[in-house]
Amino acid sequence: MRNNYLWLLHMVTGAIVVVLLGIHLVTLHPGGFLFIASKVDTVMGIFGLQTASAIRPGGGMSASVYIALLAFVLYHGIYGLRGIILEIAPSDGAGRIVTLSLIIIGIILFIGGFMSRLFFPQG
Amino acid sequence: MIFRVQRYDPEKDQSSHFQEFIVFWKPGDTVLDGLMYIKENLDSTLAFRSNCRMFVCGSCAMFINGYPRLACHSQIEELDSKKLTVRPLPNFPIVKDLVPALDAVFDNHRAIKPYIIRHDTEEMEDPSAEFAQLPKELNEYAQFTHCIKCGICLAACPTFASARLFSGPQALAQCYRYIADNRDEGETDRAPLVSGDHGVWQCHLAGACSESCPKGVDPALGIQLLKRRLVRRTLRIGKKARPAPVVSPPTETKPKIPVPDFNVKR
Repeated sequence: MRNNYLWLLHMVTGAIVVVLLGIHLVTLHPGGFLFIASKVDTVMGIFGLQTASAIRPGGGMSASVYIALLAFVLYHGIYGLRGIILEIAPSDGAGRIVTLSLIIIGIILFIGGFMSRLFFPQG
Repeated sequence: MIFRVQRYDPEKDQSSHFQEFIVFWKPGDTVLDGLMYIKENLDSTLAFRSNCRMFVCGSCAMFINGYPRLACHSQIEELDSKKLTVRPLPNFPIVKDLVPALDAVFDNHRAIKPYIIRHDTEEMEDPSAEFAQLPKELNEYAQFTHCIKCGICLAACPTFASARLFSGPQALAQCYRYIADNRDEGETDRAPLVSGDHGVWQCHLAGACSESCPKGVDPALGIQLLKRRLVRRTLRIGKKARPAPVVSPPTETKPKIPVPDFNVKR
């Protein structure tokens, strides 16, 4: 059952990464996207929201998107890597060692990314 | 036709090698006919499996001209080649010559409990009647019943080539065959067996199994449908189907016209 959840999460994070990556690209490459961002602002302004300006670098939402993208990309990538490595694992015991090692690596990378975002914010 | 056959005798050889034979054939002859010709006329030590000669048993599965096929189902003329290379099925240890050790096929198949599981044990042990199943309910799993356990799908599977602990398309497709059978109530028993690290989630949907199956079974489809079942089970969505009931005995009716009693009264 555990693997059912893990695989399902792999699919969900894959879909979410596509969306968050799009937002991430818009904020990092505003040149081509400012036009779209300004139009989004106009629409969102009708509802009292200023989404586009909030997601620009330095905005509060920018950090949230970054952290979320980091978490989902790490999970998606590490789960995929685990699947590939498990194919050549000679036994279930070796498979468990691989899984544990990848979890530790994932946590370290997440903490590293989180701290870098904290101390080196964009904008 | 030149038959280039892989030979390996574990008692004599360190590694496998190829031996060529010139086989006289006629249109309509299969690769199996060619191998039998070799065995009867050229080299009686050649070892291979065969049985039915009509592609229903799966015994003669081999790697012929770089593709896993049934030797009895491969016409020499249709292969359209000046030289036929015959090797044992890949991804399995070799017993001798063209004979692979198919333990992985049968062990994985046995592990998924390939039989109808019912909770009404009294009916299973002392059946009173058949279980009701509509034609459309049969169609849900019918194609997967054509599996002849030849092992060709495992030989073709690129995942099984590297991950020897992988259950394989044959076992997983058969697991779906039983889960989809409305007579069966064993989904709870089988789900943990195929949800592990080397079960259904290790399939990458290469599709080589479906492409190579000689009986037209689509194991890749079976695996995807099995994934769908497991996801629905995990998320607790979808209606739980009731198992097939036992068919009721026919109702006795009174005759519509009075039939005289023809019994002789003594």
